[in-house]
Amino acid sequence: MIYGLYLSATGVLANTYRQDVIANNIANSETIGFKRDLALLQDRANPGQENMAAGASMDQAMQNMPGGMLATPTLVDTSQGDFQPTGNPLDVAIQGDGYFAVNANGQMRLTRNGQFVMDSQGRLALFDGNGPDVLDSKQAPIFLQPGIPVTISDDGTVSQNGNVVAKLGVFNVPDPADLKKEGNTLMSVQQRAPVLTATPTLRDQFLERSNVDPATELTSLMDSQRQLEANANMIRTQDETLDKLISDVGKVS
Amino acid sequence: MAITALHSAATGLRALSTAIDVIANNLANADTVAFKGSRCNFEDLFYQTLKEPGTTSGTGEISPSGIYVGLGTRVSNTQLDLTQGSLENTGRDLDVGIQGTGFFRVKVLDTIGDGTAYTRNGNFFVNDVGQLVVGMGDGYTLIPPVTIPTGVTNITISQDGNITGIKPNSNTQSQIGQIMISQFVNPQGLSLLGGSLFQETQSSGPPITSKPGDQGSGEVLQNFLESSNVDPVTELVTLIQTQRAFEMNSQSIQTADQALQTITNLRRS
Repeated sequence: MIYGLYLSATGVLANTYRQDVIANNIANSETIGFKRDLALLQDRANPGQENMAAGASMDQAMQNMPGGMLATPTLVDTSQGDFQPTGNPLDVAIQGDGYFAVNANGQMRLTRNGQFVMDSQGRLALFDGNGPDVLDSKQAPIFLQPGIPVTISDDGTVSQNGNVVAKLGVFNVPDPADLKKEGNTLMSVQQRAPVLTATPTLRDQFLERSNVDPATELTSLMDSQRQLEANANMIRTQDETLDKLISDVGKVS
Repeated sequence: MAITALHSAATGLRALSTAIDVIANNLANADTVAFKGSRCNFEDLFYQTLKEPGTTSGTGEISPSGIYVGLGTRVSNTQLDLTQGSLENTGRDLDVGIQGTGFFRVKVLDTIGDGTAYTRNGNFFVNDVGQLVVGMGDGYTLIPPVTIPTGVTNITISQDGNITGIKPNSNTQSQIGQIMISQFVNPQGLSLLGGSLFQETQSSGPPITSKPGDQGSGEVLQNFLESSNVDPVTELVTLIQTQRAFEMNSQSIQTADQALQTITNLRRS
């Protein structure tokens, strides 16, 4: 009886976690290059199984009990966002897989945000609070000549007046589960190093919108809300049963 | 807990209301000469780590990645859209439009930065001492100053900024002055002063001044004024998008609030 209370509590907790993730997705529905997070849940092994894994002997009483719910590691949904035309020659969107690389305080970070700008030293930088340098295919910063129009071709070649200046570095991540978000639309890779994409497909004068889909998010939000309420009602029901057990059973009338 | 969701949604509301402010200002200036629209950019905030990658679960498995919850969004910057506005013929001699990049340099109050500012508004007037000025009030004098002598007729401004006119008691065009154009390496780094004025900052870099048409700067066109580059259709579509996103965030708040309420009422009285 008491054990069931805890299972219902995991249901409430897991669904508030889902709401946190969905709220962040919705808050970033207008953030360029944002990729939505997936809040996934899994069955938790019951304490009997957990104890056995830790070397304890089998607990017969717990063996067939369920274990409740647990959040699985956060995954990033890397599906394509919509393209938004901007007319700005330094706005670039990636079609298909891959990420732009920037140098944020000496560390390589990946981003799908292609809002670039030429800074006062003529370097191509991400238009962002700290303006990290955008890296080319050799992971070096890109320098441009001021005052000359810049064109970026579909394969990432940056040219001015018909002269090739650099090639934008587009990198692929072998395992998307490896991506960790760092804020400011930047992501880092935990284990395996990103691989250079030889032939990326880019769209100049376009930006990739957030891939948050309002219908999906709001449906998940309602879903999590109802699941949370269902679990809360289960807590209440069990509490009522306990109440009966304590106050009524064994009552001498 | 759902409190995180409440705050994330609040950051969304705050950022999106800033975006609505920016769009409203763009629309309000859809008819302002030489106005440059702005675009509001967002970025995600930091991520809270609920579980580090590489931790061992109760059943002895090592998790390949962690659990992160994002904490919302913020306005990362507003970005100037410096595309050319359409040039409109006014027929007035002292109306000058810039076709291409660059700004007119003008003198402003000494207390504002280094006392100079930049504008693309070429709606010039002559002040009481005959100098070319732009803007409201006493006007901002062009740098280098151009003085139009009294009685000059047939004022002509060539594409490279050379001003000529016919002085009284003369039949030939003579040189009066020269309009210069200033460019910046990163014009999007200029700060906005209002009144169509921009000011140099560290991120814009120093001005590169030349005759119009030199060093890739724009040419000047007499009898033309540059219209605002705000496209009302685009702005209204963005406004609708922003409003819907705003409403979605308020849905998050309501849901989080209901969740908190459900949790608060768990204990029966």
